[in-house]
Amino acid sequence: MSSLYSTAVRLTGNRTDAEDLVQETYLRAFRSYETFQAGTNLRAWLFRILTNTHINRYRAKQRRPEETELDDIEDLYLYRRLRPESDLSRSAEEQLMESFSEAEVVAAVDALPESYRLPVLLADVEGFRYKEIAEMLDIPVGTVMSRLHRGRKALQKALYEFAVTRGLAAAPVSASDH
Amino acid sequence: MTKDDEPEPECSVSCDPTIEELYSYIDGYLGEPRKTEFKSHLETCTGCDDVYHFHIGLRSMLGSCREEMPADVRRRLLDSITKLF
Repeated sequence: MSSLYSTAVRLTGNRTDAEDLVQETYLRAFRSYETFQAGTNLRAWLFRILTNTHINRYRAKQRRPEETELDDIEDLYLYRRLRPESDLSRSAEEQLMESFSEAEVVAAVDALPESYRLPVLLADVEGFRYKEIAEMLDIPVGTVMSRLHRGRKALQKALYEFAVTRGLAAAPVSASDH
Repeated sequence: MTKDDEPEPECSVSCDPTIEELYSYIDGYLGEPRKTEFKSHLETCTGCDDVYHFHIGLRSMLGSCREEMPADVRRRLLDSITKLF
């Protein structure tokens, strides 16, 4: 129940709506319990109901992600900007933990367009497999992978912006400076 | 085949993994023989190994996105679930 609630807070953006969403998830699960196939993953089934309930409720509010903008983010975006100039005697993990506060990580996740935020939360926070996420969101596995890929890159970009604000990384050179 | 013929453990541009491949490896989806090649490459290439650990760190940092459930919320939710039965 606590991981459903945690995901619900990240999806709705506030605790009141999250509590309401989890409550509705359990209500729907109870009503449609006969559709649950014994032997399959109960946790994945509950998450499927949670994400579907959320998507149906908030469909009107959803905005199309700026796909071209995200396509422009290169691979290893954050690594290239944060790591090469730093003290390599510190492990990469240590550096990351020291560079970003919990609030910044949460803000970076919250800033993701919803279609990317969901796969990132389900895969990287809750540890679901691609196939389980595909079933939950009713999209092909390939779409899960591409959204996850773009979502992770967008997350790196958002974290980089925090690092620049804090003076941990150099500000990007704007096009006009060339 | 060993990596004995490699001149130095430094990472060359040509061995830069794509992020898709790196995450496939991290997520446990990289198929053989690439998985084994990737693993032994990380053991010998400090550059790629650092990239790998950076992304492992990024992923575990996401764990801090977890929201603790306040006791009163838990109590209310449990009450509402109990009422269903």
